[in-house]
Amino acid sequence: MHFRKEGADKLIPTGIDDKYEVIRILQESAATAVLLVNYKPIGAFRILKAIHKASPDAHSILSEAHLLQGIKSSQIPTIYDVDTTKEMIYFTEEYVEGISLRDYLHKTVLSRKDLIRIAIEICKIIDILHTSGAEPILYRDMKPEHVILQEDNIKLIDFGIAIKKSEAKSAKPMGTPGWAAKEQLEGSNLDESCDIYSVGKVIAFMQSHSDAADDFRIKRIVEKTTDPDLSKRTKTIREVKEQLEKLKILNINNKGRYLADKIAVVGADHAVGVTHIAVAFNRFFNSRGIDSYYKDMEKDSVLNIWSNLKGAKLEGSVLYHKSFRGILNYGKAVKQYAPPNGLYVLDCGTNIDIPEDVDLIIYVVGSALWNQASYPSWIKEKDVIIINNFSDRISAMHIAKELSKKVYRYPLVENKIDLTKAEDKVISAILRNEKIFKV
Amino acid sequence: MKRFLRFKHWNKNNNIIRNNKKTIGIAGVGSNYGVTHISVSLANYIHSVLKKQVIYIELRDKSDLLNVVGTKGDAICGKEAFLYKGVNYILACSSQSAMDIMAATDAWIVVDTSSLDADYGAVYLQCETKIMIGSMQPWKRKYYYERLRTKDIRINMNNIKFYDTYKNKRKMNEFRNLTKQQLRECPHIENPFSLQEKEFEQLNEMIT
Repeated sequence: MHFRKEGADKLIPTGIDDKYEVIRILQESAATAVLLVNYKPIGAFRILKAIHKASPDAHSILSEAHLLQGIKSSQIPTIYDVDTTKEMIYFTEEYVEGISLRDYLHKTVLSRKDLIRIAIEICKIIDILHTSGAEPILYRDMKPEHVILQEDNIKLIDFGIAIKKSEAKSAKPMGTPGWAAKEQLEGSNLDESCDIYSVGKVIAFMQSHSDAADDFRIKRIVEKTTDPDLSKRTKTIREVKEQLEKLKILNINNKGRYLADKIAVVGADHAVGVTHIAVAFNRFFNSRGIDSYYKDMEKDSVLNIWSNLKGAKLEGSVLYHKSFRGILNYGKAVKQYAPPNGLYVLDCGTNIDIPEDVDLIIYVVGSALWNQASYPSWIKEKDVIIINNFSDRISAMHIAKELSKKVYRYPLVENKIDLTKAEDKVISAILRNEKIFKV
Repeated sequence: MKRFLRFKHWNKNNNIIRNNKKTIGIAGVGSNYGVTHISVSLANYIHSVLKKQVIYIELRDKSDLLNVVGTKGDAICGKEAFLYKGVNYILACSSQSAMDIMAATDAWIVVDTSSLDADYGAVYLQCETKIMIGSMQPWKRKYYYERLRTKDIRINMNNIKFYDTYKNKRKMNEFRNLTKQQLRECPHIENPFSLQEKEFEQLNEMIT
């Protein structure tokens, strides 16, 4: 049954009846109309977008057609025809069947795997827009309504406000509040970052409708992509995609012998014993026959260990000393060695900006009066273990009460090189209680 | 206090460098002994392995390295410096500019000295670690002994590390007996811009 609104007929281009049959008016304004039409020669649905020539935005419909015509992708609607009548300019594009991401999430709780898959596909589409043409295309309208899920594909629709990067300075500030970046809505400093921001918002929206709502790795990606500070925001959509792909690989690796591939050790403050604890974990794993590698993300601790330990051996950028194995970060003038496979213990110092692909965070807090009392937002998540170092039982209880979370007290040790029995006992207890190993 | 001093050997394990700044001068007893090859290797080792800031000073009239490292750079003490794989190269540098740079910067400095005439020799004398490369090959040996007999460069021989590219143990002993100086094997570095771990020990020994 065909449906037409009264008065809308005047926005349907005249003389198209031999080719197109109007099925439904999808959207209309004073000068524009978006129609679902039947392309008679082959009997296929298409979208017809028309605008009155007198409209000041008449050129925009053509620019949308031009933008799309230059891109070859199965995830972007195909442009079929651009034409004019006496009063109207119109073009027809592929009718994209499927369900919008918003509608889908109304009915479904997304799995973590699907969330990552959809997010990667969205990144791929935006990457095509940013890189495939002579100059980047800024989509500017990323939101769940515009992501169409098909049986085996994901498509992006509605390029109405997309522009070339060179047009960014003169472009009107447009976008959907809540999805568009602040600089986009204000019309300043417009570049690829605005799309990265919106993709981050869509990922956050998916995460809130998924069974991975507490996954701190996905939250870190969202935080980095939606950072209001442009200098801190993820620089390219390809980086976002790579970060998501790492999470995808993580799922596969987790089927292994132990439930972690990367453990980050991070301190609440300086001098709380982060390096000592990270090295102790590394020694613990190696002494139990699990290949583990210590890596300092902030400083050159392994280089210092090399200079201080007698009998240490270097091989393939790994420093071996008894049960310690540390990765040396060589500069560009040294032959590059492939990183060994194993469980990585990352010493992050006090930098809470930890890599996204870690499986577990060990957060080390001190108890001295001058140690900081504020905690990162992810402190209460289940993949975060809290160790209280240089402390007494009462201090540890205070922290546990404050955070409503189990806090492990690390033993005071004098021997800085070898793992003591007390340390071994505590680390064993942590790994057993937190089920780091499959039992 | 005395008890504490007894443990000074702690700082000497493996002989890895701890200082923040050091100047290393490398010269040959003549030309074509691989002075530039070793100098570049040392500069890259200090930066890429020991993670120190390094300035490489090429003390010669015409640069040999411009084609290799001369792409992008900045100015250091008014001299154009080319940054390549983390090392700042100051090419075709005069002795006066070299002295100025050595006095003004906190970075490690490797001085590739093309000759030991009075001008360049003065810069070489200023370096804390002095390396001399020669060969005990029968047809080159005399240059080593000539260099050691030369009086125009007033250097305390005990402060120089002598290296031999020939690597003949008998000749090295002969050198030690004649000069009372130790002659070491000059390391064989395959590619100074792509160092290998097996080369680290000898490079480290050169600068300690």
